[in-house]
Amino acid sequence: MKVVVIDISKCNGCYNCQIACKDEHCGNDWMPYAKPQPDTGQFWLKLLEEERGTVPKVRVTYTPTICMHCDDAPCIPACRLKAIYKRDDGIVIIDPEKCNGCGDCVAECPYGAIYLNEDLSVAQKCTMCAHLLDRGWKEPRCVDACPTEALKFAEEDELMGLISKAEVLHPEFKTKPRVYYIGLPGRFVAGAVYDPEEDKCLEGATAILTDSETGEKFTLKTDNYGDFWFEDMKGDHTYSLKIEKAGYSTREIKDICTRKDMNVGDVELCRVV
Amino acid sequence: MLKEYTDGKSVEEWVRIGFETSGVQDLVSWEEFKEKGYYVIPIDPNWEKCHHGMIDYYQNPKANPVDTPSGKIEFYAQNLAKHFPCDEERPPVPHWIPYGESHQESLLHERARTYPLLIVSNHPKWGVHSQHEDITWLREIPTCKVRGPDGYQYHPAWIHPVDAAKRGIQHGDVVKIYNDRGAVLCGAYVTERIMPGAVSVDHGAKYDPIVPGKLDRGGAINAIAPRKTTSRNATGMATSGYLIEVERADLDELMRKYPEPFKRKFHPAAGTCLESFVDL
Repeated sequence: MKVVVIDISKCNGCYNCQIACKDEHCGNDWMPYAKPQPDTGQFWLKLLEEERGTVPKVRVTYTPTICMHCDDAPCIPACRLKAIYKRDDGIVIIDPEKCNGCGDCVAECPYGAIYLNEDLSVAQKCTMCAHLLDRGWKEPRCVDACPTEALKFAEEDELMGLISKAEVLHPEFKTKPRVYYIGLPGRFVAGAVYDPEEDKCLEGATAILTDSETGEKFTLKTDNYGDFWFEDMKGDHTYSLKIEKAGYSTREIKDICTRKDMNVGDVELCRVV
Repeated sequence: MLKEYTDGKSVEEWVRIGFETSGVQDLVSWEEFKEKGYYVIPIDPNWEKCHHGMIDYYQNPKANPVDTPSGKIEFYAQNLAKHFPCDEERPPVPHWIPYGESHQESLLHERARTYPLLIVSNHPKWGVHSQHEDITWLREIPTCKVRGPDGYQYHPAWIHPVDAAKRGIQHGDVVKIYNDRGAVLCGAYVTERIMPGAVSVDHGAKYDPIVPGKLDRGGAINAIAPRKTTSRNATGMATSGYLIEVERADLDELMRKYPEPFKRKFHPAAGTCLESFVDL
């Protein structure tokens, strides 16, 4: 059984995967697995860009997304014509011969991975380049095109080491995806500490972030720009932040909610007289 | 006019002329090149023996001097001091000045009262200067083009939410970026990826003039860059870091005022094409 493992920390947002996918499928007929994809509008591999934080504490996360080739794929029972099936290698295929383009599966896929081709009256999505795999290709075009090896495709057994530390997107959908992700970032809490009197960044101040529920503490020292970044914090959670440095008065910021990534901004620390 | 512009030659004839002078005409036949549509230039087989960069100078500067009066890399350019002693914009030692005789493109200059934002104009991510501007698979990527309410794919202008809010601009709005040299239309891309006070528009968008020299629909931001060279004695271009202002564009009003340019044909996914400008 095949799997895809995507390492977000290696993705630099070059879009080669998205473009290679279109190069393979736009205007090309790969029956019995797929009819041609229209030139624009469909993204069998879609690269998502998420901007996190606020100026100047900003990060961009790129997430390549494809059909998850779920083991409990909701699209399969949703098809009244039984046009959707799972191959022995785990790949989910919409049979273009049987499909009449009713669109039921499009609505049923919680990942939004299926597109409707109205001109050809067919629902279409990622085939994991099954036509190439059948001819001996080791991997689909998107994986082949990835310059940083952020995308990997192999037998499940071969990637067990990676899968053991991987997650799936939206586990709450409970569809048992065959596409795994590594390095999905948690929320960050970041800011900068400065001395307003001297008008300079404060290096070496201690920032302590406390989980308001569990009391768990995370500690960092500010760098030479006075910056601190707490990475991979829990989402939708409340934290409190304390900043201290010898000779300065301590500052505390309460109720920092990580619904979004948080830039708490510039934090003033005044000298104790 | 088409004949005058094309010298009476067809597209294929022009491609052939380009091919003949490209340097690869001895490496691949015209027929083979035409059939494949591309040619990958091979790497020099002796590339590992090539001397890279300034390695010879680095290893032995005396034996391999560079082309300066001292034979060294000069922090103080003696030739500039000798030939252009009064050029404050390109002095012998480069240093920052807010503005000078050729350029007044600083927030410290009074022009900034009228044009309070600075343009950042980078080489595009989705093209090589103006090449690849018509590639549909790139143009549907959100950072490549922003589709306006009229269906036209406008070139994105990155603007910070604070600057956008001040001007009543929302993500996806068609905006006018202007200064005393002219205006270009862009699609607002409201983002935290740009500092407040700066607006980023990549160069290379295809010029689609509404009023030639004054107002452009394509987003060719160089159209409003300073006309003067970097200094009176230097030939560099100043195509980034100049003053502008941004406002929401009233498309209906523009279409009423300039009906002809707005009637020009464009491909919904590839943008303006040859047919936009000439009858074929």
